[in-house]
Amino acid sequence: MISTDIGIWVSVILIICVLTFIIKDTPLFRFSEATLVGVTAGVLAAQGLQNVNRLAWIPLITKADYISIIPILLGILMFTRVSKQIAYISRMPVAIMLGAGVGVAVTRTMATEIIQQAGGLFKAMPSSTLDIINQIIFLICTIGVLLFFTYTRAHVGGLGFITRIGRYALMLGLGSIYAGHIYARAAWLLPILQRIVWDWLGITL
Amino acid sequence: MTAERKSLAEKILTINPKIIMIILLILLIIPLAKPLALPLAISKNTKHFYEIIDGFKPGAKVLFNYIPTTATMGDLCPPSVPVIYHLYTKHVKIYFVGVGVADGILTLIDTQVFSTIPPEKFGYKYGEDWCNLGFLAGGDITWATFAKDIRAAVKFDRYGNPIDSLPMMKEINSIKDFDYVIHCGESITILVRQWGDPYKIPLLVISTTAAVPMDVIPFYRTGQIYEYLGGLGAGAEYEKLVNRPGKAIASVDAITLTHIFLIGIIILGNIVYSSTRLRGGKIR
Amino acid sequence: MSVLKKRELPMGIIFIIALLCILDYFIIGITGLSNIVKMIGNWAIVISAIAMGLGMLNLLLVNARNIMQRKGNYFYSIWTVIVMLLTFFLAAYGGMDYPPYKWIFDNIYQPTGQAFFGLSFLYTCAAAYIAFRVRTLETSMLLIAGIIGMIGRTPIILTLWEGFTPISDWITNVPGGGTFTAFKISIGLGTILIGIRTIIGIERSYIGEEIA
Repeated sequence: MISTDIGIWVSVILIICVLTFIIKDTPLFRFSEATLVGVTAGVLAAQGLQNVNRLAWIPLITKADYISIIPILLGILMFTRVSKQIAYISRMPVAIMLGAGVGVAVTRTMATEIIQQAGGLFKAMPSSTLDIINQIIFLICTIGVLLFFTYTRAHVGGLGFITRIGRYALMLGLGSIYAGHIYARAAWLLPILQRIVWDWLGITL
Repeated sequence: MTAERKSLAEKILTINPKIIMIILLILLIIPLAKPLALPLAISKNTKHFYEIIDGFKPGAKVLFNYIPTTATMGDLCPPSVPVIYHLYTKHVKIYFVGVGVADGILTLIDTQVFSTIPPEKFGYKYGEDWCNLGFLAGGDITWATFAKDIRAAVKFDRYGNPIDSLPMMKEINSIKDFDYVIHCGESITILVRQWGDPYKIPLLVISTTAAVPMDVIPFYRTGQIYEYLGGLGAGAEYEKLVNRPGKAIASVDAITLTHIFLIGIIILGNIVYSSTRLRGGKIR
Repeated sequence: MSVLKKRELPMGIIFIIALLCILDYFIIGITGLSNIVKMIGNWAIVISAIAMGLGMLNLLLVNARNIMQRKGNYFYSIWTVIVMLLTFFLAAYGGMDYPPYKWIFDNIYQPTGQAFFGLSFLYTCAAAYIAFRVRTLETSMLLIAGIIGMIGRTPIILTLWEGFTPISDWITNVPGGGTFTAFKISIGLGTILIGIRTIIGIERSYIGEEIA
């Protein structure tokens, strides 16, 4: 039984407008694109407003947390970016965000992504022969891929041999990533088809 | 002058991509209308994830970071439903939050999770058994601030209540006060960097299928991630384990069909390509 | 005001704030330092939230220019501005739970966004058919890993031969695992390098200057 909900009809019409891109770039597709761009900007701005309300404005008004006015003013200064004459003012709030972000990222990255990952290359030797062989292959592949991306020396001789192994490992890894992406993207497409089949056409399981 | 007719091999190799796309769409739609009930095996990661949650004691404090996006909701929301259902059955305290760049906690959790498994149906009271701390946009600094001192990052919950008015927030000051963190979304590197490693808190991750090889496996290998569910497929397995079939099981058949088709045409294309090259034929 | 124009000011701010964050990480027990870093963190969260409105403002200006100059298909620009302002003001007026805003979110934003992202699946598959050809040893390895990866996610094919699962797991965990670990280490090194360059002022793209 086809749905009588206007919302479902509007969403299905928009979905079909987007899917017309498979045939060619149609005015229907352009219309849906313009709709999405506008609504996305509105939604993001609305969420930003809600967050500012919750994190700074309401504490300022209800708890007299006057310090909260500083980030609000700094955030408003971000909007000076739109004017070439006063865009330099927006560098200050950007610098605060960037400084804080870089400060916490740099300190933690060393521990998480370098020390722990490098430490994982040299785990305690496993008991079975197959696991030992796998561990050695893993180690060679990691070093091969790391050396593949160094460009300070020509990849010849011994270095050329290990970087070739790295290249092969890279191909196997990229193939594995690609397979995961195909699955994930199919999952991305499913909700709209579910809306068409289950919600609009009313074909239930 | 007549145009040269294409051989069958050329037709196969130069097939219009639009035909492939339309066939894929049809293969995705058919199982949604008529479920095929294809076999589903449980992977060891899903089984282990299930066993970990099954071992949660009543009253354990679980932080659930829920940040699917509009794009990834098809891969992340279906696995999150049986996991949250399982948490309800273990009577743990659940603290929902959305720290990251996605807003799933504001809207998707209502439409995708609470509409099918409302907490009240399992005897959960807001503020005592579950709460929603809302959405915090931002990168590393947001995650770091939240982890260090929750009240520095969040003062009011999703519904405008001061977080100090929620009884379950009395003993919670930083991320160290939680027993487990379950993360549903992307930004896995930042999760491990800012929450997992500094505070040594067990991380359970529900990630997209695409993120598993690149983002999850390196951290899982070194024990920085305790266990993971890789997207929709793992979600279907989890639904089978908790005996609650839902969207994931209903959707997996569709993806299976498209994979079979895609594997078939790629192998066929390569057989035709290789045989044409071996015979010295021209490929236009 | 000329002080604000100097590029050294934002570079100095970055240096001081980053230094405070780094000191807070290494030196435990100084409550004052910890409180300052928490406060800066809170400011950064609020500024990020306000910056989300910058996208809307920028889009408004670009589309307004198109409309005034009657550039190209300016009808689409008119429509974009209308839906953008409607969505924003509905949420600003009634909050995120306001029914008309939720209607737009559930019936326009979500389905259209999903459709756009979902289109990438169809194009990825069509591209896979064209690109995955046995031309060289490397492309063959890419093809084999891709096919086995897809087989590993298709339970019905796994039931045909039980050897597919260990092979798929081996490719993902051993050579693939080596690749991904190398990626993580490289990305980590790159993050630290860019971070240090930003802190000491070599990287200045955020103030609109070329890298020194």
